[in-house]
Amino acid sequence: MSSGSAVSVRHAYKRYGTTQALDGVSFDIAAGSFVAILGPSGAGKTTLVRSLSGMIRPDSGQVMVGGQDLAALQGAALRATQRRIGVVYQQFNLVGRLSVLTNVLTTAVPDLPARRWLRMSFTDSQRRRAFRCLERVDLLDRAYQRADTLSGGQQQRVALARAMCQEPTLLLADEPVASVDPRLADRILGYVRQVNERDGVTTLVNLHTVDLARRYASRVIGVNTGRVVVDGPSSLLDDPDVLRRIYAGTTDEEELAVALGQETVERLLAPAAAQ
Amino acid sequence: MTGIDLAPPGGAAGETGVDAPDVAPQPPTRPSVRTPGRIVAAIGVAAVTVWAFSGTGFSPLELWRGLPALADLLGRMLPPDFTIVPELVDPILETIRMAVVGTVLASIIALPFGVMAAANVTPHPTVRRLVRPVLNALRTIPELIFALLFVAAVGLGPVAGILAILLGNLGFLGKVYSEALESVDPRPVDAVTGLGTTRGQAAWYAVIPQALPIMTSFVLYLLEINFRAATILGVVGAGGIGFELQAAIRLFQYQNMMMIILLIGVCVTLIDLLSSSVRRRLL
Repeated sequence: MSSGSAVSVRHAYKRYGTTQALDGVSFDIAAGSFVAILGPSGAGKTTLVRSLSGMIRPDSGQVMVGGQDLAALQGAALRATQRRIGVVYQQFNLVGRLSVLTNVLTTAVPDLPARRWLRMSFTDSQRRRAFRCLERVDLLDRAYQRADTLSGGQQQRVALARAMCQEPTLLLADEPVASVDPRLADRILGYVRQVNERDGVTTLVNLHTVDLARRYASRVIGVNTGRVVVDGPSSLLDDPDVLRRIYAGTTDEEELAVALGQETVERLLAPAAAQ
Repeated sequence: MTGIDLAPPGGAAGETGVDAPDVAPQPPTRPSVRTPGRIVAAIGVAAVTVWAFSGTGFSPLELWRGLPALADLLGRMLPPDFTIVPELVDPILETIRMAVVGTVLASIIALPFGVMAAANVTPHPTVRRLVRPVLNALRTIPELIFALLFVAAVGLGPVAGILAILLGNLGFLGKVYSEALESVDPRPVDAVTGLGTTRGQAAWYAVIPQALPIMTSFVLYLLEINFRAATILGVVGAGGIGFELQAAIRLFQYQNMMMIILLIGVCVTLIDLLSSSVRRRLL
């Protein structure tokens, strides 16, 4: 592990039944970078994010985040590391019946004694921090509304505010814009970029379209059947061979059209058909 | 690997072959409805029905012969005696109190049992394995049996009724609570756990808020059932309106009996309306 890297994955393996979700994954990520992970569905992208957030433990290998090996941590030590890893999910995963504010304040629960967290009673400074996070995603006026009364795009912004409020050293996002109106994708990824650039938070985002990866990430990691098949600057995505390598074996035409755009799919297929 | 296999054979999108020549497809053969299993089941149902009828002596003729007696009884019950209503107020309030106290106690005492029995919030899988059979066993015993036991143990009166309702509800509510807790969307729970919270904190902030409306709805539903149960428990000695009903039957005061039945009907309807309107707002 080089000294400058915020994340370092070494020979990570994870198997689900007969599927090898992670098949010897290794990479380093420099602190402060914005990395996109691309790959067909079922390639292991979600498994990768879940091991980086400590939600699952790889069968073998190391997952170093901030100098700690998540694969080896347990109990309170694991929870302490998770506190500084913000995660945004495809389906937002807010608690719908709680208010927007309480969803964001949940980040403060590990700091409170039982007599306070049981009553959902937070300190003034915790509340101020939560309001600041909501302000940054422009949803301060919705603080007291129930989370499930918001639109999908708004819920994803609340989820991002929740992640910000963790004051994370690493921000993970698992297909953050796959379930929202495509027109809102840029707005949400704009907030993500802000966290990356303004707060200097290392950011790793699974994306389902090449276009978004090209526009937001400085580096791209391509994953296919549990392996890293491409790793380099996002300018690599201009090379059709790189795209073929990332999406090799994908037979779902619709998924390909979404990931690459219909034009690119046809352009890629043309030389293939000629062979 | 240079990834030539981007698309299935056939190439470009859109070729679905619907413009094939118009030929009616060969329909698949329909499986037979008379499977051996179904025939055996039909014979079984018929046999049990015949066996049950033949043993009880129930027949349309018997019903016909009983009709005059029934009509006679109905005649004696009408009109209901409205003058006794003031005397019925206290007993019916006692029955309502019995139902409310029993429901409230059961809804609280069942909470730890529900939590222990739910896979996603149980403190330990072994605790779950120990609690579930206890809840199942409690559910096998009807409230009426509990009431008979408690009348013998603590004497006549509403306390026996409350205890019977409490124990009768505990198994049901424990089970319903645990199912409500287990049926919540696990994704927000995962997300809250990912914030570095403990199991208990994640349960409090992500599982309970999701399950609470269903749990409350079941408690209200149970209140409806418990009011009806409380009237019956009164008949075996737990006080309240049931006790008055039983006294009226014993003393052949048929017009009083009719009045009591009417009053019970009105109260049941009111409680049902109230509880179902609250439940609609909850979900």
